[in-house]
Amino acid sequence: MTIRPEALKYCPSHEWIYVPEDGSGVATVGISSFAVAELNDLVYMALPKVGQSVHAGQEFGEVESVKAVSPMYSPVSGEIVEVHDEVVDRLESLGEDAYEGGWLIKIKLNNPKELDALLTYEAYKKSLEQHG
Amino acid sequence: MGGSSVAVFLFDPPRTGEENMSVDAWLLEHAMRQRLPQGHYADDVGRIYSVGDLPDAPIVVRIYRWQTPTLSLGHFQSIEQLSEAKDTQSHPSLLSLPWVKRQTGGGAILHDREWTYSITVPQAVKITVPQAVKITVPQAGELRGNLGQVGGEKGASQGLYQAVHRSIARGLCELGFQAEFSQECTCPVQGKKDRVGSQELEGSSKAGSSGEGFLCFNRRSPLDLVVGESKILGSAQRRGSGGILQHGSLLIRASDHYPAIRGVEDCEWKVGSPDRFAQWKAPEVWEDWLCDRLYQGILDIVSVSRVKSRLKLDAWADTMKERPLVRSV
Repeated sequence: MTIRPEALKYCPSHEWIYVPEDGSGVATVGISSFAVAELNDLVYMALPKVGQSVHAGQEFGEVESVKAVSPMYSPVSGEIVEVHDEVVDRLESLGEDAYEGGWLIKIKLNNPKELDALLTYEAYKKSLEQHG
Repeated sequence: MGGSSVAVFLFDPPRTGEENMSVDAWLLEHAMRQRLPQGHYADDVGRIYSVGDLPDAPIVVRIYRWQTPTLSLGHFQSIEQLSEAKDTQSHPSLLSLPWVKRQTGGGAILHDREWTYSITVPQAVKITVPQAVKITVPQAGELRGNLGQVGGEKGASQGLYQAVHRSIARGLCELGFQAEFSQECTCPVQGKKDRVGSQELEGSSKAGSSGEGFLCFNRRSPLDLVVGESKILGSAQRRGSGGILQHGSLLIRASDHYPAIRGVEDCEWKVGSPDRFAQWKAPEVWEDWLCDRLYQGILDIVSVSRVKSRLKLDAWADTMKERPLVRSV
């Protein structure tokens, strides 16, 4: 699996999603390096359990930087089939790699058409510039 | 200054921990829908408004106390950690107090002789953050600390945090306290050793593992307000995609449950001691003062007019029937 930021889709709330072309329908989700840098000094993270269902736009976890809790939102609907629990104990690694090694959950997609509503890398970059 | 908006100040009677946190959760839900709860609101000159008369996406500030001494735990803290923490082991009466979890981060707070505030800011509110703020305060007190430069989305939420703390610091300095921003950071951060001043401590960064730091007021982070050795103001946030909730606690006097954590009135007055602030038996004096300081702080980052109201129980109780209170679990 090679995850390049340019090939991903994004939520305005800074989650990324990678859908491999292997026909599995299982997408990988994380938070962008921009979000990690913005949050700064991550302290705690809570991730969901395997088997849980999520809807697009629904909270799937939470992260706390110093004194601030931020929910993380699912880009798509589906069932959570894998959770990267190890990352919770080494949040500092997200600062070095928020993509390949910093993925958070894998979701079996219910409706691949939901991907069409997400931002491309270019659109996401543009939104950051506008809000920056 | 940002776009025009309204800041609604809700004065609320003391409630239980679960009620207090449920009201704030309810206000955040409204903020995320860019709406104000139904009700009637009055401005500074007594004009009465209903929700439809006021602009969308209002900032709501709630100032309140607690019916009995209560612990509120940070969002990622647990009751098991509370019983194991050094702070509580050395003060076992804390374990007998009711407790509730906050939606916001940070450490546990003992709500006793203090004022709590919550501020909910809908995402639609345009917060304008000063590019760089060097604190200078006239007259009685001296406030040190450079708040630095902030921008982006984090800038909006940090801007709120800074503006509120800066305004309260200014007010305390004007009252004669030597209020300043903490120069220490003792917060547990993964990948870094816990720090106490310049001294580094070995240890894990798991929740509740930072020794004395389970209680918020035994921790220090750079924007905390201190008077001498005493931290007297701490705040924490929840940043959702639709809005921000900020909680804060201004300690007025030490609690019998933890006398070592002192409040403003326990600190040394640098210049005199104004009579009207001299005793806790008039807590409404601090309520008015805090209301004004919060308003001034918000004005630094958003153009708002102020509307005041008393929160009536039935204004939110009906909503609460449809969902349970924020539970102490």
